[in-house]
Amino acid sequence: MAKDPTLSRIELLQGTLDLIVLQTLRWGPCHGYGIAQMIRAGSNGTLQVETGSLYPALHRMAKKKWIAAAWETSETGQRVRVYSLTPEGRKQLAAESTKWQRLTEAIAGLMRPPAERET
Amino acid sequence: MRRPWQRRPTRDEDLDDEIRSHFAMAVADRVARGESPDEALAAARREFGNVAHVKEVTRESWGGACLDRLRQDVRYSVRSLPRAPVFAVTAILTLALGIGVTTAMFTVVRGVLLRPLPFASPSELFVVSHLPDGMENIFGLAMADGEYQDFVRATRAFVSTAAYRTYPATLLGAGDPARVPVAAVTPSFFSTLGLRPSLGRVFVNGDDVAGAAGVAIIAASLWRDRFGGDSTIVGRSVTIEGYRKTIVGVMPDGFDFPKRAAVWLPLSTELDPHNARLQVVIGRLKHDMTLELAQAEVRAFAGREERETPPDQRIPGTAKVVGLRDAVVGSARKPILVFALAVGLLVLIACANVSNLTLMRATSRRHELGIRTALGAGRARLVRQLLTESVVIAMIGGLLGLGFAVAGVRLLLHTLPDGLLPRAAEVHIDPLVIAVAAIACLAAGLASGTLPAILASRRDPREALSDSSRTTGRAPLRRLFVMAEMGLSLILLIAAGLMIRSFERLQAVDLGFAPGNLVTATLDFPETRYRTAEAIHDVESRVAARIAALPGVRAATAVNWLPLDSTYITGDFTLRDGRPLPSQYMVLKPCVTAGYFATMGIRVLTGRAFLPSDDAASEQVVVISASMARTLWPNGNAVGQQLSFADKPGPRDWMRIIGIVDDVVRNDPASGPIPALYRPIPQVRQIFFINHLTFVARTDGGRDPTAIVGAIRSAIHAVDSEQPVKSIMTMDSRIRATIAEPRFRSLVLVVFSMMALGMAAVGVYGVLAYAVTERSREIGIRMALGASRAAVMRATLRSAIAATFPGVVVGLAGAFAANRLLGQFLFEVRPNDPVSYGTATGVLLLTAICAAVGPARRAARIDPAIAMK
Repeated sequence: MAKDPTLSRIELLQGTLDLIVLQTLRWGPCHGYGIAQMIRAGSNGTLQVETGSLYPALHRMAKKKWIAAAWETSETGQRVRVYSLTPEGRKQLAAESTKWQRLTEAIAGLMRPPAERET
Repeated sequence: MRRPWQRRPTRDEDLDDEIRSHFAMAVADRVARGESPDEALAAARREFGNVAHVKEVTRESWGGACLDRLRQDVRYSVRSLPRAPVFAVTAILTLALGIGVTTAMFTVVRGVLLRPLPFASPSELFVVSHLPDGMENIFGLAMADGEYQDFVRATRAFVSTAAYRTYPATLLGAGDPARVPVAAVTPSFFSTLGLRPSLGRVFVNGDDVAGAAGVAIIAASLWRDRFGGDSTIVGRSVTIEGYRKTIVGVMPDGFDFPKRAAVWLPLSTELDPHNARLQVVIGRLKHDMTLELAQAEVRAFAGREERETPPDQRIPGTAKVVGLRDAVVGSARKPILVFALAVGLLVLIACANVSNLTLMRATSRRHELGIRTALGAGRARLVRQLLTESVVIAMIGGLLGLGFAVAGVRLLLHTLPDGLLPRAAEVHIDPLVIAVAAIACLAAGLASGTLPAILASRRDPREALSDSSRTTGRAPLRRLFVMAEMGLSLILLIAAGLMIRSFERLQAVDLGFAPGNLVTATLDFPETRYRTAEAIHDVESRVAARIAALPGVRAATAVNWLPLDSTYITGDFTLRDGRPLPSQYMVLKPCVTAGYFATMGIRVLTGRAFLPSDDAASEQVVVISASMARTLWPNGNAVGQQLSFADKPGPRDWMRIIGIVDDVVRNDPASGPIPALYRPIPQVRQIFFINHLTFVARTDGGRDPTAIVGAIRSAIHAVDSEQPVKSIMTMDSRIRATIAEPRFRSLVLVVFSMMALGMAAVGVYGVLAYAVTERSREIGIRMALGASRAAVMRATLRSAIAATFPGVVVGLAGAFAANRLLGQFLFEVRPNDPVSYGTATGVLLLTAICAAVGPARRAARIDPAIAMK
């Protein structure tokens, strides 16, 4: 768990969270808790998705049919809602990742020291 | 697993399950990593964050569930209102007033100005008028009957035309003798309006021919009241103005056009070579015709008519086509619009006031809102909640307001002077009015709640929850609201002040006679029973003598057209010395008994009044009014001159001027006197001039005038038992009737401005009371440092005046801008009358100071020891 407060409190833009969630679901169906854990682990603790952002995002994307929700029962008898990527979600993911790639490249270019940029 | 018979879990239950499973998994993971179950649970909770907030924002992502939340918000609002009873009651009452007056006003506007006339395709109906310039003010829209005949032949624009005249007539043979409004209409009248009778038939061509059997159509109200709704009424006969008429039809309920007619008679438009009678002409436009084309046609027609008149008789006139509804509504439109404007101001004040109250309440609820934010309420949710509260308040206020409106409209129609409001019978609350009221509620709720809600929700819960009571910078906005309330109230106050001043002037007008202690009774002598002038002289002198002999009556007299009565006729005359009269010079021609001037209290300026010896046998004499003498004989030698009513007077047609009397007002005090030429009744030969007489009794003032009224009625019936008495009333009540409209206007504006003032006072009180609470610490410090209680009080009062000042500037500017509009309703008072402006401003400042006294005293009572703790 990252202790650096500036890092742990990075606020994600709405579209970015959607992208990350879709990306996470590429590995297979997963429930909300699992998605949060995977994002944290995948970013080495840098990104902590708050539940107050995660669940609205999941429900919103389910409504847009980018992901599908289904109920399963865990071994402890608990009802668990599991989300999976739909074909539409895959298309959305592809489009969003391209956009993200271009954005990060652009920002990275801007952040490079001027001398480096001239070369 | 859900079985088919199990109830499907709701979305909320699903969400609960989802979050519960999240927790369970988080705790299980931690326990697996070696934490103790208690530690794991606490950590999972910490990590998860505010459960309520998560649920709330997730629910928001569902959308579409507004209805659920709306119900929740409404329930919450209703529960929270009793917690602030003063706020709730003040806000609800303010809005109820605002919505009540708006709804009442809209009801009137709709009934009078907006609702189409109850005829077939009413937008195709127009009034056609052609009158000499200046005559329209006296007769309204009209056309001479000879011209009407030509017009019917010439018109291409109208598919059907009709003409009518209205007059009161005596109805016999249907219960007690009664005076009823009668409309004489051409047979085409009903078909032009597109109306069918509910019983019998309407008029047909031929009913109007001279010598045809007299027929009449009656109104549903008369049919019910006087004939008990008898379905075999058709064929019965009644006597109207002495003529027998057979009832051929009954009109449907509610139809009383024109001018609340109860009986319709056929109008003959056959030309009478001696008299050009004026009547109203209506027409139904052809489908493919526009108003512009019709206007052009009528103007061309009028131009042709004028060209055919010999140049020396040609009088410049105006021809026009006016929508029938506009003609019916006529002069009532402008006052209604002014009232609507006043109501608009009142509603703005009410909204500003409720906004202000809501803002203050939101500030005092800081703590509650902070807790709700901390518990996870999103900002949008808070705004929605606060707005819902405002709308709930507006709806409760609206329901109450609708009640106010129902009562208000009833009160209005009840207190409204008769005949002041055209189409008054059509004013009632209908679904559209209720819909508009509902929209007004919603708008008022949103208008008064939006700003406070947005501001109140923009707050950091940590600040709100820490118990600091520092000023939060909302004060400027509240001051803005108070400024608006003050300004708008001042506009209304000034308008009311102007109306009151104008009304005072109107009451102070010199009428030209002494109205106190006069009782009047108007009689008509139908020519079927009084065929000669002698017969009328006989009955007139007997009635007058009997009235004069009554105890408590000092003198009695009779006149054909009483001052302040709406019916009169003006005409021209010929001067003996051959001079022409000034262009369009017309005078009133009253016929009076010998004692008229003395009984009425009209001063004789020069010469003498009539004497009993001025009878049919002696020289014909006239008395003229001062203005007529001034105009025609500026050198002051009027007495002794001769004039005649005949166009080509013979030697016996001349009348000699024997005296000059003071001018007397005619229609109402505002329109002033018309020059008059009086004749003694015994010398009048034409029945037409004297078959409508008003008897005037001057009482000694010691008795109750109503006792005299009864005695006069029996005196008249002792002479002629079949004589209906049109109206017995005191002269004072006649005067009141003529100034009823300006009186009503002043009254309404005074009521409106008082409401506005009350709301503004609440506004000032609220702002100051709040400021004192907010600044109690500061005031405590000041007092600890040596400020006296009086100084603290003075400072608070000063800030009240300071808060009022910008409002005064705005109000004065607003009233000044409304100058031209208000000026149209003023009599002898300039619209920028400094007295009205000054008084209104003074009243406003005084109100502000009164409203400030409470908070100021509270400020002065602050105990520094407690305030600074």
